[in-house]
Parts: sequence; C-alpha cells; structure tokens
Amino acid sequence: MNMELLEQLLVSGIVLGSLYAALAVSFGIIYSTTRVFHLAHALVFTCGAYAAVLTASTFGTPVWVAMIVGVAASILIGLGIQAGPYTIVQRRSKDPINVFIAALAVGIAGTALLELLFTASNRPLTGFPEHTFVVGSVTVTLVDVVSMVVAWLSILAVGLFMTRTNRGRAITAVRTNAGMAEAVGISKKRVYLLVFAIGSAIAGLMAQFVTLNGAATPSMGLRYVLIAFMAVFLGGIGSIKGAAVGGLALGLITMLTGLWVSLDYGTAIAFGVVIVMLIIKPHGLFGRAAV
Amino acid sequence: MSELLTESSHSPTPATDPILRVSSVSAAYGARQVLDNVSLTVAPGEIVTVLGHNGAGKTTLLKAVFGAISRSGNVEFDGRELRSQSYTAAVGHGMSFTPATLPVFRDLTVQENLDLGGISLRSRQERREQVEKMQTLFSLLGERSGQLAGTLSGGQQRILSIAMALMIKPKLMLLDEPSLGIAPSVVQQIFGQIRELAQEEKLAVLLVEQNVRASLRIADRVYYLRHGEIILEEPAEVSAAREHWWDLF
Amino acid sequence: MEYWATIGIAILTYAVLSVSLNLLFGYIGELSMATAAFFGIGAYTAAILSMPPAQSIAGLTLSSGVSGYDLNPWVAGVVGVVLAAVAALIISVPAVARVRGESLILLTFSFQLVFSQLLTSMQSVTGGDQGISGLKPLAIFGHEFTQARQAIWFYVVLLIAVVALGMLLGSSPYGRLLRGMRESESAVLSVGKPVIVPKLLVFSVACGIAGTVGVLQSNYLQSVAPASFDVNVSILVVAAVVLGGAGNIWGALLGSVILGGLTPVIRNFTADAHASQWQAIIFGVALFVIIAFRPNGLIPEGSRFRRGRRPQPELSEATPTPDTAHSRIEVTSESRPVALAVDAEPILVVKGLSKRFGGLQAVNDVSFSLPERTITALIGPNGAGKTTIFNLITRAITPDAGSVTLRGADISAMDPREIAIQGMVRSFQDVRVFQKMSALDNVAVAVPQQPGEWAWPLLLRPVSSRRREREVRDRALDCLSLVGLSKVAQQPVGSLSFGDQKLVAIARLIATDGELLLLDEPTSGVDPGSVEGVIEVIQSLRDIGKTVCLVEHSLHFVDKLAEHVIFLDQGRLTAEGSLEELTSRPDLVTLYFGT
Repeated sequence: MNMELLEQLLVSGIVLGSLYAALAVSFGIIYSTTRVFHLAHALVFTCGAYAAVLTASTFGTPVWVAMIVGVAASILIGLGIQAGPYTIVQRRSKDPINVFIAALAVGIAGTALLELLFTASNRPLTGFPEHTFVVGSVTVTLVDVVSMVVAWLSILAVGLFMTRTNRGRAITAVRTNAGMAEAVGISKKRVYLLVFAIGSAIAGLMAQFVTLNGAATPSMGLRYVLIAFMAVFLGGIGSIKGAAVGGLALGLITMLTGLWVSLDYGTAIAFGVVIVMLIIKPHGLFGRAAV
Repeated sequence: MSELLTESSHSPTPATDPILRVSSVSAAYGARQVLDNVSLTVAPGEIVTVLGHNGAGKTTLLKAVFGAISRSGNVEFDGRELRSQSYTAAVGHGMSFTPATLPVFRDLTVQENLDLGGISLRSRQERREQVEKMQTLFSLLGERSGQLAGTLSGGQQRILSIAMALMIKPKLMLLDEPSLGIAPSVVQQIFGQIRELAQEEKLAVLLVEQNVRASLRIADRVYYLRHGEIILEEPAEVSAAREHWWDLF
Repeated sequence: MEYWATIGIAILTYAVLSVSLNLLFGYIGELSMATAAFFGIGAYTAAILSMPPAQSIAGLTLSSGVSGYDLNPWVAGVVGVVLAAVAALIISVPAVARVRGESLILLTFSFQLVFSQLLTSMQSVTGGDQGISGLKPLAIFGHEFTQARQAIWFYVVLLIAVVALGMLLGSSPYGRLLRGMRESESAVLSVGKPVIVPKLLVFSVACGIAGTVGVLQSNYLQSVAPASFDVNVSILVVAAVVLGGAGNIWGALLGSVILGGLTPVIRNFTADAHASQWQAIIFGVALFVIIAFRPNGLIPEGSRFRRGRRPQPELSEATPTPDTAHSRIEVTSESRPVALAVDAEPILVVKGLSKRFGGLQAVNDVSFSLPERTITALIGPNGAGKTTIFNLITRAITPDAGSVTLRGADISAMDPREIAIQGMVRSFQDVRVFQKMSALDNVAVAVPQQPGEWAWPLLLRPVSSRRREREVRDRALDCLSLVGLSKVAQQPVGSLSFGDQKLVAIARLIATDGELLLLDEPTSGVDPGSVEGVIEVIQSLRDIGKTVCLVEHSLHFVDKLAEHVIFLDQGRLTAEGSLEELTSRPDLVTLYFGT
C-alpha cells in the first residue's frame, strides 16, 4: 500500500467529504421538514455558482463580494422555487410524487435555460488567494482548507440553531409532527420558507468553493446534489449528524477507491455502499423508523 | 338511561354573548362537500359537544373553525372575525386545538412538549410559569418531565395533549375525540378536569365525539352532525334522556 | 415517408418504455428513474454478444475495438432481455426490503447514473462514448429490414404484445394482488398472500420489457451509444407516464405520442444546436403545467379507459345506509353468549409471551388459551398490550420469549403469512381494506388457492384459470352476503361507511377459511347506527364454527359478545373469567372500569 497515496487520498477524501456533508445537511433539513424531494436543489446550487461568476466578470468585484452575491442568489432562487412552483402544486394535490415531478420539471427547464444563456462551456471564478500547503506528502490548497472550515462551521451553526432557538424548535416541531405544530400555532408556511432559505444558503455557499476549484457549468449541480441525497439517506432522514456523517463517509469512499481502481469508479462504489446500507438499515445509520 | 345522570346535571348557561360564533361554514375536500352551512355557538364557560359518526365531518368542522383548512362562511371568535386558514391568528387570540391522533410530539420529552405547547407565548417567563402550573395540575407531567412522550401510555399522552393546549391559557378549547382509545376511567378523569376548568376559568370547550355517554356527562349543549349538516341542537339533559341516538346520526 | 416512419419509431419506443414504467408506477406505485438503464442493458447486451470478435488488419484493430461473441442476433436478443429482467433484481430486492418512495427514486437515479458512467468508463467492453457500431441488421430468415418503414412493424408488434400482456396481467388475480399490495402489504400478508415474489416479478417484467425494446433498437439502428440510454431518457419516460396518469395505459401512450412528436416540431423552429435545450424547456414547462393543474394526468384513472376493468354484471346501485346493512343470518340482537362448557382442545395456546420495547416491558409473561368456537375478549387500559399481543402471536413482531401453538402445532417460528395459511387471521384497528378496489375484489384477494396469482398459469392454462377465477368470485360474494354487503359488492370500498368497511374486512377474513379470527377493536370508530350490525356478524361467526378473539374497549359490547374475558394491565394478564366476575372485583373496577 502506497503510504503517500493513502495520506493524500485521505486528506482529499476529508475535503470532499466535508463538502458533501454540508450539502447533505442543506438538502436534509429541507427534505426532512417539508418532505419534498427537492431535486431542483441542484439548480439552486448551480445558480449560486453562475451568479458569482457573472458578478465577478461583469462588475469586476472582488471575489468575496461575488461569492456573497452567489449565496444571495441561491437563497432567492431556492425561496422562489418553494414559494412559486412547489406551493402551486401542493395547493392542488397532496401526493408527494407530484411535487417531485414539479421539482424534476423545474430542474430540467432551469438547467436547459442556463445552457441556452451561458452555453455549456466552463466559467471559472478567479481572484481567491492561491496558496498551497504541503505537509509531508500531502498537498492541499487554501481553497480546500477554507471550504472545509466553512462547511463544518455551517453544519455546527445549523445544529445550534435547531436546538437552541425558538425558530429552530419550530422547525423540529414541523418536522416531527406537522399536525401538532399547526395545533400549537406554528406557521408551517413560514417554517418551510425558513428551511429553504437555510438549505439554499448552504448550497450556494458550497457552490462557491466548487467553482473556485473548477468552473461553473450548467449541469454541475446534479452530480453533487445527488450525492448529497445519498448521504442523507445513508445517514438517516431527520438527523443532521447523520447527514454530515453520511457525507463525510461518501467523500472518503469516493477518494479511497483511488487506491485500487481509477477514480472514475468512485461514484459507482459509493452507490454500491448506499444500496447495501439501504438494504441492511433502511432507515439509515441514525434514522428512526417512521412513527 | 338514568345512570347517565350520576353527576349533577347542568342547566344551559344563560345566553351570554358567545365567545365563538360559527355562521354558515362550508368546507370541501376536492370535489367532496364535507361541511354544509354549519352554524353553532359556544359561550364562555360552556361545554358544547358535537356528535356524529365517522365521515360526518366532525374533524373537518374543528379544523375549519381552527383555521387549518380552507372554508367559506364566518367564524367570529372573541369579537374578532377570523379569516379562513388563519390558525396562527386563532392561537394568538386564545384558541387551542387538540387533534384526535398523534396529539403529542413523540420524539420529544414531556417538558419539551409542554414548551412547544406554549411556543406562541411571547415571554419565556410566562411559558415557564405555565409549564409549572401544568405540572401541578397534572402530577404525572411533573414526575415524567424527562420521559419521551412516545413512551407514555395512550391516556397519559392524552393528558399531556390537554396540558399542551392549556399552555396558552386559551379562552376556547377545541378537542377532537378526546376519549379515543382511552380506558373509561381515564376518560372520566380527563373530562372531569376539563369540566372543572370550564367552571373555574370560564373556559369554553367545543368537543367532537363519538363516545356519546362520556361526552353527555360533561356537556351543556349538544349539536348533532350528520353528513356535514347540523340536524339538531338541544340541551345535554334532553339528549341524555333519550333511549338511543342512532337515528340522529 | 421514411421521415414519418422514423418519428413513428421514436414514438413507439417511448410508448413501450412508458408501458414498462407504467407497470411499476401503476401497480406498485413506485417511480423508477432507471428505465433507460434497462433499455440500455438490453441494447448493449445484444450488441456485445452479436458483434463479431475484434479484427485486426496489419496490427490495427477495426470497429470500436470492442470484441464481441458473434452470436446469432436473436439469441443475443433473448439474452439481452433475460439479463435486463434479472438485473431488475438490483432495484427490486431493495424495493422489497423496504426501500420505498423517495429512497427508491434515489436508488434508481443512482443506478441510472452509474450505468451511464460505466458505459463511458469501460471502454474496452462498451466502446466508451462512441459506443458500438457495425452491428448486424434486423433480419428474419435472411430478409433484412434496414429501412424505418420496414422496421416500424416490429415496433408495432412489440407494443401490441406488451399492451396485451399488461392488460392480461391487470385483470388477473395477479393484478388484483398487486393492487391490494399497493394499498396495504400488511393486509395482504394477514390473509395469507405473498408479497415478495409478486413484487420481484413485476419489476422483472417491467425491466424485461424495457430491455426488449433496447434489443430491437440496437438491431434496427445497428449501433448503440451511451447518449441513447442516459438519465434524460429516463426522465422523459417519467414525463410521459405522468402526463398520461398513473396506472393508465392509454394515458401513457398519449404521453408518448406527445413527447415523441414534439421533437421534430421543435427542430422546425430553432437552430439545431439549441433544439435539445428548447425541447427540455418545453418539456419542463409542460410537465409543470400538467402536474400543477391536472395532477392526475391527461386521462384520469377513473375514466372508462382505465386499465384492467372488465365489464361486471351490474348489481344494485342502491347506496346502503348503515341501518339497512343487516346480517342475513337470523340472530336476535338480544342473544347473549352462554358460557360454554370448555370440552375440546383449545385452538390456541399461548405460553409465557413477553416483549420489551426499549425501556418498556410491553408484554410480560402472558399465558392463555382460546377454546374452540368461543368468543373471547381482551380488555384492559390503553397501553396494556392488547394489540401487541395480537402482533406477537401472528408474528408481525418477534416476541422475546414464549410459545404459541395453533391446533397443537407450534407456530412460533412462522411468519404472518404462514400463520394466516395455518388458520389464524387478524383484522386491524385501522381496517386496512383496499380503498380503491371493489368490495368483491377486496374479499377475493383473500380466497386461498389462486394459481393465477403467480402469473404463469394465466398464459399456460388460460381455461382453468378463468374457471377458478369464477369460483373465487362466487366465494367472495358468499362471504359478502354473510356480512350483509352483497348489494355493494361492486362499489369501491373507499366510498362505504367506516362500519361497512369493517364488515368488508371481516368478510375478507371469512374468505380465508381461517378458523381463528383475531379482531382488533372491531367496533371502534364505527357509528352507533352500524354497530349492531357488526355485533350480529361477530356472533354469527361463532355459529359457523369460527373462534373469535377480540380486543374491545366498550364494555357494553364485550357484555354482548364474549363468553370469556381476559383482562390485561401493563403487559400482564391480571384476570380471566366472565365479564360479571371481572366487574365484581373492586381492584379491577378502580383500575379500569371506573365508577
């Protein structure tokens, strides 16, 4: 076993896993609270990236301003999707499949629109200080380190918010028993908007770091968000801790496959793990059977 | 049916201004008309029960009054006109609602449940006081304060749900089938508490039930709901004196 | 002409794929995002197997470098279909193991993406992004069909065959079983019917169908490439099925026509480079509009075109009111149970039953027996463990300790379905009848010995299958008559009153021929007007030789029904005897009966 390779892959795995963890939490709070399979989260992610790129290239702002604009854009788009298409569909039908289809529709149309407007070519985001840390045989960039820190801070913030604040408790109430939440006077509509805002913000935030590392492309969101979905199901719905652990695990698995096979197969292996987990423990690592 | 009159019978309260006035309320689920032009009143301190079989629209009626579903018609509560689907406003003005099933947050502790019951209260101080008051009123809530609500028995959960409703010091309690799945002796205990509160604090109670005997024991007035329509209103003693009620459902 | 034929082939391809997905969505209620993957498995398998081995001339490798096995295309095709049907296990086994709804969507999504990923990565086997070309053309006995207008007939035949198969399955006992499973698997198991194999079967059939059209396409186009089998295709198939409405084969076909026909129209209006984006935008918008304003699809499920509806003999249309649902068996409503001398062997013996849930000892060393042809009531405060005991003895949950014997045979190791077959069947507090099915179908599901449930006999032995089905329906009607509901046999159970639904559930239990009926709160939630009817039916059950054990809260009804009463409190059996004996005990009175 190549020790240096192992160390590098381990670190890369943790970096990737942190990104997945944050994305998983972002999707997880939306899904567990509203039970909407928010496939268009991929679009929210992608729009955050494009907004940043456009701001930087059109207005020549410093990169951190562009990033903030990117996050803001994600929040707006996420809220817009919930307040618009999802609400319209839910008003007419209680079947969760229908909202899923609506999410699918928004995702299809939105991604295609981005392709029309920006073509499929890459749009990079430049300006972030470039620095590379070398520790022993391991190389890691400043972007990666910052992204990791930001990811875990976000997860921590969400966790504290949920347990320590009134609004957070209201979210928990709606998540565990929406009927009773209404009965005690909690506005389900407002809680939904709140979780969409939080989830979209984190997605937009993570999209910035992905763009910094590569570039913005119209279909970048789907791959990341799908893995986030997998992480949530792996870790158990309704558990922030579970989503984070699931994301970290998937990141490590994806990278560590590089020890034996081409990294191309990383996702395939991760998928295999998810299937096995879904069969053995259908409620995920930390989830509980439905009440 | 004289055994029903074991408790002292109530005379209908004099016609004080009702705290709840429901006028011509209708509601539908999709194409199905569930409530048709329903009108009723409840006065402060009065216990009113709506009897009807499954499918008559009892739960829909409560939800329409509470504002959890869309409806047409008028609901006037404590002098204020409530808009359709405005349950947050209803709670703010002192209306509580207790569902028939899943009436507690099972994954949270008794204490956390009570806290959530009072989540709409502005001041944390007030909430704390109310929690203490509930724990005094229902001793089991104090004893089992850290226990997960889902592990309580059905009757205990029902008691907790009533306490949660009382957290906001409501002027009107809406109770959906409070005796569902509960042993008769616990039903008696709960209903007894409710009646005491109604008398002491002028709490108005609107409860829907299938358990005719238990509800007639504490009710002042009865409405009969059939296929979404109110077909009869009468004082509780008159109902209690009937041989059977089946032709009313 | 060729142009229209090409469009026709596109439409027909989508149509077959839609029928395939519709089998899953309509019958099991599950949405798969991997239709294109199975489409591709069929296509690629046929391609790889029928390709000749890689040739090299002067050191250069020809074709895509992919090495084939040079099999006869028909053989390769069959293997392709079989492989697709078998590969279905990757998603059907998890689906059976409780991966449902969104989890299953996610699973199939992932499977689809991984399939596409593997197609591009495993270049030496699949030809990578370029795919495989130069395949042998579509041919029968040397006649080649390379033109669209020739090949289209293959597609037409395939579609007709697939639709016919779908309709045959739909109106069969197998289809009935699937529709019941869709609403409540626990109810199906509780009447002794299988759940696992039927589900695996429908997945395999659906994926096999997708694989079949894949084989056809690989032969017609004489090539395969990853782009034809990617997630976008799966999504479009989902769109077609949703547009048409679930469970509705005609709707799915209509959806395919719209989708297949839209592409060429778009190409007329926009630059080719942007055509696929505009197509996607239009699909997305159209899909959203449909789902928002006509969530049931273009052709709603209730319409005449609903799949699987056989014309039924018209029975009376009278809507029953609770009062008129009386049992045919003459039983005076004042009849009281007489304490029977317990002579024969008890039909059920429970010893030392225990179960702990976390910190709570729900059932604590409970032992009792049920004499034959008697009605026993389990009473006790809420949370005393009554329904849990039902769950334990029918093995819906596993006890920590204890044994259960039914007619002397130890059933402790069986599963709910086997126990039902042995003769102990149970009802549920929340009824769990199949709301969308008629009362007759609800009861028919429970009749034992229906070979048609396994699907093959429908094809291999059509005549005897049809005869058996007639017998089954007659038996079901008899059971409905026993509970006084023969008049509503054709009505969807969801439109009946709650009391009548409970009666249908009892009729369903009678149909199983089970001797021991466990009724969980048979009168709870039933309006006072219908309750007498339910009581009469339960009394009549004893008269036809059944043994009944019921959980009941209302002492009024226990008084009317049960010779024998078992009192449970906090998981323990506290007392046994007649109701008078129990109500005369002061300790029980305080605990449960109240004043």
